[in-house]
Amino acid sequence: MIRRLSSLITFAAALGFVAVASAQGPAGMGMGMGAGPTAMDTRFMDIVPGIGEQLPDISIVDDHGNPVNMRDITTTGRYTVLTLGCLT
Amino acid sequence: METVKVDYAPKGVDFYYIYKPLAHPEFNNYVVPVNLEERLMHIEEAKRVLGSSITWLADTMDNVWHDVMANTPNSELILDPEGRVVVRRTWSDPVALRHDLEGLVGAVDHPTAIADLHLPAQPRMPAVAKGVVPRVELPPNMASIQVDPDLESTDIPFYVKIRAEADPALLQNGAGTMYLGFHLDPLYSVHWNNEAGPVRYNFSVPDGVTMTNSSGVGPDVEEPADADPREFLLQVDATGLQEPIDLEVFYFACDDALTFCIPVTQNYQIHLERDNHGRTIRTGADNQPMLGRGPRPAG
Repeated sequence: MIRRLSSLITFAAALGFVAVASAQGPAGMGMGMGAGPTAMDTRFMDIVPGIGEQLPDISIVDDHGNPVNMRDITTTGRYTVLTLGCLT
Repeated sequence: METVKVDYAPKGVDFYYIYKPLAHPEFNNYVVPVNLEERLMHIEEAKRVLGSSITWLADTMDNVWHDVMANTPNSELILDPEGRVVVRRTWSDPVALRHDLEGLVGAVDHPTAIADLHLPAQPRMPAVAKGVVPRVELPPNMASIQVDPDLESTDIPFYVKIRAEADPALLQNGAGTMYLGFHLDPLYSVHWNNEAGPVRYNFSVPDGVTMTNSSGVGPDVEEPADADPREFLLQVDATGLQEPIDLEVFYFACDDALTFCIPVTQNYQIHLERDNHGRTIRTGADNQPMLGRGPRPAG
């Protein structure tokens, strides 16, 4: 039972539903889980749209496969949170 | 994340999860989808196991959004009402997200707790035996290589997914070790029917290329059915090869509800090039599969 519960908690954590401690960088920039920036952090900061920038004009799909333009859904007059995730 | 959504959607914040390539294939037995239809099946699975109320979107199969996000596994952005980035972080962090939104749109009087939502967490469990076929021991520093299923050649789902990896020597010099793994896709609820016959594969080895185990047959297993991966190590010398290598795979696809058990032949092209979206299934410490080995990093 305990092993199964542990597995379930692990699964939830893997999907980002359990808060994890995360060292925070300067305002507007969250770092990884280590003491300093990792290679992934550096790549992220170099490539991902910066503070004050809009997203590129690209489309992905909704959960039925219909196109969704990223700029359209983020310029609706509301704040938007976008989080990458997957089953693992 | 769900609790933050519950508290802040009414305060003018839209929340989206964007489904991208698996960060850790094989975790809870999930394997890499081969087409958008299967990626959408993953989203339905995520909704099922999480009871999520957040809107899910899916990246395209060429992973345009994942590239925009620097191929990170679990990163996060907050955008202002005009669509400008105001916060970006490499790893999603619900505590930090709540703090950020408090600063942007104000705190809520009574923050929702995870326990308030009674969220399910039900990873799909195999219906047949697991752990009856030994895993192969991998050389260090293996990396995913690109596998292209021939989607046009069959209308039958890819019940079995291939994972291929290469060691640094093979990637850099064209001669080294390749891992070839056949993994059942749990979303199709199928198993290996060991009484029907093992998986078989055959590479069409190009002229000038040498390959041990270029043809292979899965093991004889005493259990009548199981869900373990079938794995092979090959020594490959493909120095100078620029083209992918063709692979044909044969297996019986048998569903857990015992409604069908059909012979399936499917084809792939294996590229001796690193798959930047492939991620890893091994720990850095002992290079063994991570299944059942405790917590993994988020994402």
